[in-house]
Amino acid sequence: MASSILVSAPIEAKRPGWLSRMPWTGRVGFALLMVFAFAALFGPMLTPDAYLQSLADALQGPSSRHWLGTDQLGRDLLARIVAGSRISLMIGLSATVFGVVIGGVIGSLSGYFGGLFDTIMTRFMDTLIVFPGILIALMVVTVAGEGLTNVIIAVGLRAVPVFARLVHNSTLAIREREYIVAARAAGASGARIIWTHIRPALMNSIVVLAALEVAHSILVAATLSFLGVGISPETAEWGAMLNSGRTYIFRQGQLVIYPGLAIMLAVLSINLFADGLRTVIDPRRSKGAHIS
Amino acid sequence: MARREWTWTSALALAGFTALIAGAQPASAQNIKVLLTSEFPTLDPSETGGELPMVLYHIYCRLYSFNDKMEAVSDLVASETVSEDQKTWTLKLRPNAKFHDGTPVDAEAIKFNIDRVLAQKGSARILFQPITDVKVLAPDTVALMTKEPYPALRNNLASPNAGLVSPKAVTALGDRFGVQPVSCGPYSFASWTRGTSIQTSRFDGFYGPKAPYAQISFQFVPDVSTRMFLMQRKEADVALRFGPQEAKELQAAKVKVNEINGRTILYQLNYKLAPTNDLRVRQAINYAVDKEAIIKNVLLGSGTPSKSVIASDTFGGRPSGYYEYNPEKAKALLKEAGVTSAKLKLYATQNRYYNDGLVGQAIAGYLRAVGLDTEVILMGDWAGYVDRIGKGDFSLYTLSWGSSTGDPDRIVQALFHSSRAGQTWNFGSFIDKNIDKLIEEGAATVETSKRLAIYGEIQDKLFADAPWLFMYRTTGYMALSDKITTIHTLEGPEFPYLFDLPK
Repeated sequence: MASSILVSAPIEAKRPGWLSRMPWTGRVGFALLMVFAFAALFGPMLTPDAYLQSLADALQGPSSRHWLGTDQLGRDLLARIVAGSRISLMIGLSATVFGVVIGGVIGSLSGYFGGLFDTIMTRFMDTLIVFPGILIALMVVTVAGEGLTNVIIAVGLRAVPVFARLVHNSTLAIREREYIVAARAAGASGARIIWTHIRPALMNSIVVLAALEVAHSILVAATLSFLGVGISPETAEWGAMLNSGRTYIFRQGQLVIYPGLAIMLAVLSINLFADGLRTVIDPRRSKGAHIS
Repeated sequence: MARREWTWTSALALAGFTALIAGAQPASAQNIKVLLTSEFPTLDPSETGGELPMVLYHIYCRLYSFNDKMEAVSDLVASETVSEDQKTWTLKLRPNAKFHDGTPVDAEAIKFNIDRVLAQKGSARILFQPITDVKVLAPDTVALMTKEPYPALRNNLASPNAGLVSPKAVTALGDRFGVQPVSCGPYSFASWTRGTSIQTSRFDGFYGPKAPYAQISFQFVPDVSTRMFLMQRKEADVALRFGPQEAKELQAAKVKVNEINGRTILYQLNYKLAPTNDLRVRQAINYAVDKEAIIKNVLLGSGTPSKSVIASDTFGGRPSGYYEYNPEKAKALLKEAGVTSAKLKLYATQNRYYNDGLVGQAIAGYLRAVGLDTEVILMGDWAGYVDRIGKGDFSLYTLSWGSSTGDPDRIVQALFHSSRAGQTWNFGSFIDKNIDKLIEEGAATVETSKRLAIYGEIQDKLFADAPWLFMYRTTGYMALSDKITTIHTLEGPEFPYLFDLPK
């Protein structure tokens, strides 16, 4: 994971656009991601009601009325996949923001000030990070109960130590630099130094890691609902759809193939995009990474 | 020298091998493997749960047993005399019955058993509760006294939970009895490998006809695909609890599949909360849901719509009517009741009954279609589910019942008697003094025709009051290998007996 020190010059406006500096894989990822984003924003307006059941039309194959067919309760599969993209992207983004904010605060404070707080926090984060993410999420949902908010917190909590560690390690290295020492000598407060002098230097690596974490969070959220915890199984969520279609895998493959494909493509597109983003932000490092 | 030795050995090996082949057929046909879905904490008969009854049938003997028609008939009892006032049952026992540890099954043992269960809190207690006193009249004669006439006593004593324990073993083993049970059934307990299997072997001292298989091994295989695979590979002989799709696949693979009537699935409605405390709303809910479409599409045909609170194969069970699918009528009833916006909470189990979660969602869809905003809460953990229902904030919740005694008394007592209001399994707080009276009368009436009339009245009254969203009776499937020659599946319980039942 990109937890080492990563400081590069800010991107200059005069250079060619960041999208054109991205490798083609990154651009493909970006294009796919835009499709999902469009579906999430406008899809539910264009497709039939994802929750309208009609048992007479249950388990149908593709038709002009239902492009991808229907599920066990006769609900339109395409509409549910599209509605699912809104939920998945929302969970992915919110959970990552949660992780960045909490992890960033913990990491920068402990990294900058050090001392007992640092020791305790570092040990605590180390403990959290050795747990598989899904285990933490499961634990939180079991204790806190069902609901979308709880799922976002549960998935976000898993991302906290990831960001805390990155920010902590980078802060440790930066705080000894001359310009930080100068700022301190000029009488700037700790909070001000962190916000105005350290944060900008960390932004690039946080953005890359955050993009990857969005993909990871979508996957963890889908796993949670596949296991039947968290979001109500009625919700048009990809993992929940996979779970309820599981027993029909041999007869009505579309019930698992489409949600599965949606999860895979969403995660793939974000990963490709994140990878491309890294190349744009730090070409030197990513080239090195390719060689090794 | 070496050569001669070699010849000797190979001749011996060959002879041994031939013997093995010759002997293998009957020997393996005598040892059978039964696949259950889950383990249970104890084999003590006073507990219930999951597929425990199937194991209890084979290890424990009982005073009465069910015959193929699910009628309670004498088993350990050689003859019975019921007193004029119907309150004293004098039972003469078979002379040759022995427990697996060799001690005799005598009047003292019967008294010990009944006293033991009545002193406990287990699920079996309700079966023996009508008995007020037990008297030993002679070594082979015992008298059971009841406070009121109680004709269902035979059925209660034939329940798998009324299995008899060896007093000697209970005294010697104490709490460990449940994991090393000693009784007097056709098979004796041999060993229990936790999490894997329970071994039993034929008890040669059994008083009844000789059991057909030398050994029965009950194995716990929770995963349905694994159970299917083992049946297809012919590595098991009886496997329970398949869904309709698996049944089809097994049949396609030339495995024999038996259909059995399963449990009655229902949704209990809450009499304590609006709007389900209004009769018209309860009826509207029944009219709003298309039971047949759910059976066809969600259960894939494995069920039949319920037409009464008592299933037709339980004593007295008969159809009372049917709320056909009629959303217009449902809307009209809701309008009449003045329900314009209502929020309902529907609780359903997840993976306890076949496709239960989906059925819950389908019902919610139908209720929304007639204007009842329904929230669906699905729970996979049974203990947590019961706990949640007990809080009483539901509008409707799913539940199932199956009759292990073939008699309706226990069922209507538990589900509708006002003394159970707000508790298991009358969480819906159904309270009706007339029904209470009828239930008590039904329990104490001896004459069959009168009893039938009482249960008929109970069913009609309950049906009209719509205490449930009436759903369906499930159809279950079990797979059998060619080795299974003796098997009896009764109408009520979902589990088969692997030995011959009394006539």
